[in-house]
Amino acid sequence: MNFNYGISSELKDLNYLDDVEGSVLFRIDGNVIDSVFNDNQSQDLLRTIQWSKSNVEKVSMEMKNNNLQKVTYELNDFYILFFVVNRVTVLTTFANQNANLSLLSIEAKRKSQNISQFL
Amino acid sequence: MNNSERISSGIEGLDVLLQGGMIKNSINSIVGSSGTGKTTFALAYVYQGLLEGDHILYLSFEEPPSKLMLEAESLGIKIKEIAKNHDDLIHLVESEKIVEFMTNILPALAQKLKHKNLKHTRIILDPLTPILWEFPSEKDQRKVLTKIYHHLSSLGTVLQTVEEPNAFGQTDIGSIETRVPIYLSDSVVHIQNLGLGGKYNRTCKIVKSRRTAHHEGIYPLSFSYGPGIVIDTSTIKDNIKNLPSQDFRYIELMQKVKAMSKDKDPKKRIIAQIANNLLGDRQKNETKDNLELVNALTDPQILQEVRK
Repeated sequence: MNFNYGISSELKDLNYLDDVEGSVLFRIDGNVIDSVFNDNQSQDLLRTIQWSKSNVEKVSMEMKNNNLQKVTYELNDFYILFFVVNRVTVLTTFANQNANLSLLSIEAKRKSQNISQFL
Repeated sequence: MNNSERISSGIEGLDVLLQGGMIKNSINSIVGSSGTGKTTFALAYVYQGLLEGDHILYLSFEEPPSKLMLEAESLGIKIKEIAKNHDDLIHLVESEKIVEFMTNILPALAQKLKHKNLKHTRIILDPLTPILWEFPSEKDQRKVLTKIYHHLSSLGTVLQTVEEPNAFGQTDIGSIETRVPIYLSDSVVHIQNLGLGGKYNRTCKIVKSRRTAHHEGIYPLSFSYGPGIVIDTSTIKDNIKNLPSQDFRYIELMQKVKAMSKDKDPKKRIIAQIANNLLGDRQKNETKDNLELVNALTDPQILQEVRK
């Protein structure tokens, strides 16, 4: 069974939500395990992704220390949602300012639970 | 980009990531902290070389040969079974002789072997780190390593393991102990163990590979009895295409089938014919199933059953 196919399909599902620009499954050291993005990527979004990649280690450490399951950041007109998947990975979702954060949180949480079954 | 002659690394999955294997006569580094599997990589590389009939020059700077052989055996890497002179395969270089060995003996040995016109040689430096400690300045390290690499790459393909000197789970590939070998190597494979469990706990990443459009990203790695180390490249589509005869199990099974096809027993010869046909279907997607089937067909116990 190709477990990564399952991960990819969960990330794609998340991307079908309105105003979601992309989602990345990061390992806590900043390495990308899998990612899905919309076709039209702006410079601002790329900068936001870059910021997430370089900060995922710090963020996941904070989440672990404070026992947080979810953290939301607002940067360059984007929302960035970090969800703990397991001890090694974090699901990061990028959405624009029009996104329904409540719906996105519920969906991202569900997806992170689904992904954890593949890891 | 991929037109250089390549050799199989012997590590399942690595050839896929490197677009067909290591470039012949290149310098390849395996970088990782303690317990990540660097020596297992080296042992699998040796085994593949033996399968392909290459000459082996394994220089160990830490572990005695007997210990390395035991390690290979415990992971099912059958070096002892396949090597004609397994006692003479691995050479231990004692720490007090490292400087003399690297600056004088090794270049002379390389010259001598070059004149012998040996088939391709697989050279293993495991680990390179004690050599680097002998030359603390980066300038000296570069000077010595450039000279050694020049001699060794004319002789064959080098695989060296480099210790990443960080705390367990923490990695810093750009540290002073790894910078020079990474800079001078043609390809660098970084292996990590975060020590937290799960599929992406142990991973492999190609940091650089000259003349190769290598795959990016991190790929799960696991220890396995038989091949030693397996890299999961299932995310890469068509990963068996373009690798007609370069993976570990294929070569091993082909050898078994070849031997069986010459057997006096006609039943065995028929089985060999079936197995050969199955292995010939490698370009198709069912390759992995075929390998399993051939493995079963060539199993001595199953052969006994067939004979009955």
